[in-house]
Amino acid sequence: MAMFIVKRVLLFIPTLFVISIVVFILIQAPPGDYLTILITNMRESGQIVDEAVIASLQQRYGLDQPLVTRYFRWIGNIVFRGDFGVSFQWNRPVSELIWERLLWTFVISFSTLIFTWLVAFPIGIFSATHQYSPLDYVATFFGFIGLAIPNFMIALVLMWLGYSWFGFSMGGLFSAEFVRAPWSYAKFVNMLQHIWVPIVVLGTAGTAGLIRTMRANLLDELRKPYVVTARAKGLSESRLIWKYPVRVALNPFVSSVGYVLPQLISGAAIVSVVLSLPTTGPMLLRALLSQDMYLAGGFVLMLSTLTVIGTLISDILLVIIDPRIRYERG
Amino acid sequence: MTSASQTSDNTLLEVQGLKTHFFLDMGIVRAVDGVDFRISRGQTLGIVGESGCGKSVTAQSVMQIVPSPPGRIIDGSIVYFGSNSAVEISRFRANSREMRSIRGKEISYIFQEPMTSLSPVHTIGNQLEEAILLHTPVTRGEARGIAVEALARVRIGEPERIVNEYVHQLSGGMRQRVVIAQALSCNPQLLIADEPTTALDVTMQAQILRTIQDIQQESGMGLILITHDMGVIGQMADEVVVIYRGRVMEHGDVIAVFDEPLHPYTKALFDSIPRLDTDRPLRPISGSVPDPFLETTGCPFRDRCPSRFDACDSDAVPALAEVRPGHSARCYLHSGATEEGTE
Repeated sequence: MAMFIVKRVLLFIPTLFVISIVVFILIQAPPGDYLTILITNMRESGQIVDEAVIASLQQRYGLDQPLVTRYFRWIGNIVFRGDFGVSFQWNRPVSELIWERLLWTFVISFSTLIFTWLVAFPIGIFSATHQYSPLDYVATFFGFIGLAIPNFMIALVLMWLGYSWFGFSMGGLFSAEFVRAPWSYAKFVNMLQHIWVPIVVLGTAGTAGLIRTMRANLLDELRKPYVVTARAKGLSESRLIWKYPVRVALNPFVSSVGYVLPQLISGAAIVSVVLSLPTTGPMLLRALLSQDMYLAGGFVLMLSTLTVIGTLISDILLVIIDPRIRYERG
Repeated sequence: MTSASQTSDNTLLEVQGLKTHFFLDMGIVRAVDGVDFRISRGQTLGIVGESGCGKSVTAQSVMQIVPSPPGRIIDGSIVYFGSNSAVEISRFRANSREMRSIRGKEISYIFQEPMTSLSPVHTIGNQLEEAILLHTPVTRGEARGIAVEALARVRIGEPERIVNEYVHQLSGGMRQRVVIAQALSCNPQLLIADEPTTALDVTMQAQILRTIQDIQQESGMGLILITHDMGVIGQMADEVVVIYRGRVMEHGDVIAVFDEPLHPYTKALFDSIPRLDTDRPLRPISGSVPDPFLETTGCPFRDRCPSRFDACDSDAVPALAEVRPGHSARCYLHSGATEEGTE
């Protein structure tokens, strides 16, 4: 087990190396270099561009150097100094911008994940064990609706309902008076009043999908002979269902944990824009739209790293819960 | 009846008029349509028949583990003569406490597929101890000891190591031994073995059957052995029940049935066994098991029967009639009696 983890972590390094090359090539792909865009932007806004600034920037990014040198300069800055470069649009270091928004992203995404699992698990299990019962049809109906309606649509409808019925603005995480206020009990309560909206909105599609997956997985497992064996031993239905088929049906969830991490950063971009949430999604979207390539590159590199880490976590979890995988790996 | 006194002494399980039907969208499958049999302590009852004839559903009905819905026991009685008193287990609801206290403790079941009838993600020990802890007042540590003993009893080497292993680490024969050990771990009075050796090769089959026989001799439990293999029946059973389309076709002492099978279906089953000692070509039973959704009228076997004669055109189902003492058949060749209410 320890060997397996060490091996996987070592594999990490070449994987990330290759990813960083791909990301860098993407950054370099658009025609022109960033400095020309920066200078053009500054000139357009009527600023006088200082030659010294241009020279220092040129040196900083090594834009006079060949591509390979520039790549190593970029990755070297990231690895040794945590310097992801400067965002053209915000004129601030990329790392600062990303970390600032990461906290809220994690808070919202993890709450959403927990909400999703808490709702989807019992409903999925019920749906499978009471297949074709009226409540199963109800769950299936709402499941498909949740899957079919885009999240931003639900967000818009909820906001509209909230505003027209209760006269209360659901956007953002705080009411206007609390946004800049220091933390207090009142601010916390105000946050709770707002945060359930993104959680529910972001959670619906995931919940619906999870219910369907759980139901399908569990239906497969419920027909397996080992379930009948457990029944023949005299176990009660609820005990045997939780112990055997649910346990086996968990595997697909655990393997999807790997995709959850990067989704935390990127998945909810459009909903976050609609609900004006201070998360990373909208910033990534804007960076891509305005070709703010160091910022976008920083995000993409981060997403890729999180995907790799997430995959590692789900692999380790799978090895823990499923002995078949454990022993194949030896 | 002379068997009345016998019943109270020796009988372990008595099944009468059992009907288990499956209510599907396409119609009703009458998987078991009136089955009677009786088994005594220490006795081995063989149930034979082709695939789909209702053998397994009969056995699962006794345990009340027929997949439901769509399956349902709609008629008949199943009486279990436990150590204290007779209980009509067919009255219990499938998931009731009473039924669960019999399942795995009094009556155990060995399934057809050793490959899939154990959980892939729990250790062998975990699965064995579960039933022990459920049915006997022992601690976890004691349960582990009983589990190890149970494995040793089915001739598994190094049982202390095996309890910590997972099913995919074992060979097919070992898995079936584990399944048997699991079924026997609570010392059941009755063991139902549903094709226990079908998935195994011939050598392994002989070993497993011998193990079951040895344990039966030690413990005096009753054994219901379900198989399509006449050879296994001949080796193991005291009495045999031949089932076709959910009904008992012939019932008798194994020697009597083997020496002189009464029902053409039983004869056909014997004829379809490949034999090395003659040059006689293999004679399969003509036709196949009819559409399971059709309700039987008349003799269930008449469309495939080589001995069909005028009487067989009757739409009444022939009754299971005692042709000789302790040997009965459901056939117009031997008795004109018909089943009530079928005409």
